[in-house]
Amino acid sequence: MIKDNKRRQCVKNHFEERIRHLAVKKATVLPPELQAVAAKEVEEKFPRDASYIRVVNRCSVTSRPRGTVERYRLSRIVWRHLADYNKLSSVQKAIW
Amino acid sequence: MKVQISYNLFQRSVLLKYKGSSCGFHQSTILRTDSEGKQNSKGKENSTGSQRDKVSAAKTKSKTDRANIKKEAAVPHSAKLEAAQKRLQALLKEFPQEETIETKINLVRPKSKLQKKKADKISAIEAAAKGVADVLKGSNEKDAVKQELLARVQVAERGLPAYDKEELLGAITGLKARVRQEEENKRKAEEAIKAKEVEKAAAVKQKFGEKKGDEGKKFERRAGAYQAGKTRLFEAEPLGIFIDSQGKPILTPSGLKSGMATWDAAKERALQMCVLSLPANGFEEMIQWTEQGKLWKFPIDNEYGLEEEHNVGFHEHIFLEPHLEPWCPKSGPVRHFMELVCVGLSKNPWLTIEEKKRHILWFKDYFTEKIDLLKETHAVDEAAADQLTKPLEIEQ
Repeated sequence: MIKDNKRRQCVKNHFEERIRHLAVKKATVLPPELQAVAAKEVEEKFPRDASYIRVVNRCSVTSRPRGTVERYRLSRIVWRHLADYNKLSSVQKAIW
Repeated sequence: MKVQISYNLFQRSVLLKYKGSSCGFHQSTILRTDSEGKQNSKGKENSTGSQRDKVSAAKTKSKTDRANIKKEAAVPHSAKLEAAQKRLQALLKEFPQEETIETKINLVRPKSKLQKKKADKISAIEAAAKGVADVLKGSNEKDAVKQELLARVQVAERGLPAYDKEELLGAITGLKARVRQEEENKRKAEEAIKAKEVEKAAAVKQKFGEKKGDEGKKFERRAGAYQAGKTRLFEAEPLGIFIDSQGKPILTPSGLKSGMATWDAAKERALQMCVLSLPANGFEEMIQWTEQGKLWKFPIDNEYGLEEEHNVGFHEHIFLEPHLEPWCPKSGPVRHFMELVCVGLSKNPWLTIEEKKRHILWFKDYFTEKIDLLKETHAVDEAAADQLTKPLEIEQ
């Protein structure tokens, strides 16, 4: 959980610049030399954790990396537990 | 207790005569008992002497009686009786009649030894003291001497001086006076000592204070430590612990600062805890969290935190090309790229205008950095390059 927190902090600090460099890197309109330079800069200038892809939305209760319901920020197990005890608003057992 | 021993003696002697040979009762025992009784008694000497004589007489008589008994063994009964009667009468005459001897018999009774001792001692020593006092007859000092002697004797024996009331009071006051005097003497002595020390210090100071340089200072420090009279508290230089270099006191919101950051923080927190009222119930807790920003405000609004954006019109978000005009070349790959950027930003609902502007202007700075590369690749011609690199005028 702490690692994830660090990554989020890194993203907060560097992502703005990194995405601009990325935009230059991916812009086929611009000359390829410039693209290459931009690509190189993206790799060297910024830490890898500056990418938001590396951030994981963990469960708030159990810190489970997989199976999270994003709206509630909970893992499926915790989500189901709360739903069974009627703690989640407007959540109901599906029947049709 | 008065005991008539004569009668007892008589009885026993009579018994002896009758029983004599048959019982085999030894006469010496009876004699012993009689003698014991006599020893304990504090009677007259005459009586004891007479008794002893009579005892010896009885002894002899008893012996003679034994002999007689043997002789009379053959005599018939009536004759014996007569003989006995005669002897009785003779004996009665010899013994003193109605002589009572007072004897002190020591019965066992609880007696206090102290009383006995005291009684004895007082009697002996006091008598002696009195005798001594009597010797000094005719002088006025007699009574005084006697009293003194008695007092001393009593002190020695009992440990309790027999004071009169006046004497007691006088003694007490005398004690008090003595104590006061002693204290005064002590004080005087101490003062004298102090005065001496002061004189010494002054002398030393005088002597060595005249020396120049460090030595004089040294002695000043040592010798001038004690100065008679006042103590001066505020004359020395302050140490400057709690004051800044500028002379202001170092103050935190709570108080003075120590040099330890963690300590200060902990102290601040502790004070805040005292002042802050902890939430009494869940509602107050939720209020606290909402104010801190931990809890969303209900009913949920997606645009919480973006209140200023309400004032900004949609045209500023969509029409971003005015931001390109001063610097961006009108044709070429750069222009193409920047227009794409603008289109992308116009479709972005989450960024503020400021953020969009910043985004665009960042590219200007980036291209000015890479202008040489752009020239080489012919993405930008010279005029455009100049236009790009030209610094923007600050619009207000």
